[in-house]
Amino acid sequence: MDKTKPMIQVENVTKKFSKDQAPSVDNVSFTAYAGEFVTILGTSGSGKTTLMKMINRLYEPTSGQIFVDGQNTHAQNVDKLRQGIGYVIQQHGLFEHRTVAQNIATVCNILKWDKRKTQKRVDEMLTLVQLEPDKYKGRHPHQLSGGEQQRVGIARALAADPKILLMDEPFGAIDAINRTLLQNALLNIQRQTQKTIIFVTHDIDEALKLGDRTMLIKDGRIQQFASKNELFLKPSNDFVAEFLGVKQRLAQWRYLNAGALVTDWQAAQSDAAAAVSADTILADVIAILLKNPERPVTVLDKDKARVGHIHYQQIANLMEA
Amino acid sequence: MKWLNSLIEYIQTNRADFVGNLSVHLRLSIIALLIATTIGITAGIYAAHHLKIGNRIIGFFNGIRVIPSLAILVLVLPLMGMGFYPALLALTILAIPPIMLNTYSGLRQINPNTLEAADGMGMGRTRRLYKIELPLAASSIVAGVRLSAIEVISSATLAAFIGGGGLGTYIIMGMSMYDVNIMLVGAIPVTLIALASEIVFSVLEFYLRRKHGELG
Repeated sequence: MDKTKPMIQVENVTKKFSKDQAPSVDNVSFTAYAGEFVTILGTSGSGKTTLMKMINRLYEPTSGQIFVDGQNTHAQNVDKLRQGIGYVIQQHGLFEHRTVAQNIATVCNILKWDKRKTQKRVDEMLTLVQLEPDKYKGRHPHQLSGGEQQRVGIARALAADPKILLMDEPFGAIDAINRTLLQNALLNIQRQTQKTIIFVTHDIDEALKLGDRTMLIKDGRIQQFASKNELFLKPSNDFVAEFLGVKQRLAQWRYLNAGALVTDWQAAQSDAAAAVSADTILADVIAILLKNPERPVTVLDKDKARVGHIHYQQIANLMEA
Repeated sequence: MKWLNSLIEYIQTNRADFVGNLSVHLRLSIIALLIATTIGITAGIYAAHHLKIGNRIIGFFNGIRVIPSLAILVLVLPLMGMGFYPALLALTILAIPPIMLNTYSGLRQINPNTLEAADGMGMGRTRRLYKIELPLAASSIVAGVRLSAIEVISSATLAAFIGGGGLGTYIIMGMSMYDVNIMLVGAIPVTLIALASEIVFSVLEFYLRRKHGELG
């Protein structure tokens, strides 16, 4: 998947629900690239859900344009557009009168897929979300746990193989343990399927964990749209810094990656021993440094082509900043 | 059980007459129920999808509900005179409100998330109605039909008053002749038909509710 190919382009989009009220989404522009996992983070009423729902035209923008895969959404048949975009909502929204298999096959059936192809697809999707096909296919939604329902919701959204997945606080009503499992499952699915995902959440942890980039939104305006490392190292304004708690040590240590602190990368030698990977969290780096403050920690980049170092002094500087 | 014997005897000696009245009663009830179901479900869907006008439609049908069944039967007299069709019209009017109101509330009770999911997947209005909304409201609609069926079957007894025929004929006849046995010839079959319809629709309703997970 070409990560430089624009998949969703939002251009100067504004949404006003009534004339006298402030706009819910205020002149927003951004681009999400093919295969990118974008999280939209904000408090309730920030406009994050409204922004997402304009992509599949559940809301129509008051002004501005949205392009999906290069095509202006406004010029397309709305049902066709939505059939090509997976959609997952909080509280799953599964059809109670239909079995798990029928739920997953929804869009395949609308698109009049061959029966056998659909059945095969249902099995694949259930396997993808880690539910045993033969055990779950014939069940009804009310016979599933909350986590299982949400897995079926994801399977249903992915069944017709859309390029894009829109997710509206999908794990908001799930307990903490199952939420972590689902988040990990989703990251795995994303790696396997390379979908472009727009994921709305109000949970900072979730947004930073899942997103390649996170968009922080307030009063209908984008405050910053960047990777978590950039958000922490270069917050664009006080709101971003405050909201994410970038000055708080625990937050820094948890979210910042080792790779973000390396200032000069060098070509990797063959003996890249004792190295941590670039996405190791800062807390782990500090733990290693504390054992032997004299020796800088070696960081190995993702593709293992480059190495860099983090020195004790760098951490100390970060603390004082 | 002397009365039962004399009842069976009466039916046997007046067999053709009894079968005729029974068939008129069933025809009145079933046709009225079919027409009312068609109109009631259509109006219920319309009201649920157009809330502003819908509220007025609901109010109107709630109003009809207040009118006693005998009054409706008598009210059609000046319009259509005596006979089968006036009785059919009156029974149909009587049967519409429960079906319509239950269709409306069944549709309105559907979880908004379910509808949002359907919209989000690009189902389109028509498909959403037939594949999602009506099946999910089915148990509620069936409950409405069940209520209407009882209403129609029992009120069809009164149709005899406006010359509509049916099993009510025996009740009127029995009353004028001071003969309880003749009255029972009308009353007992009506009771049995009402019970049978109640059982059939209740089972159907139970099955639908269980399928949708509304029961434990």
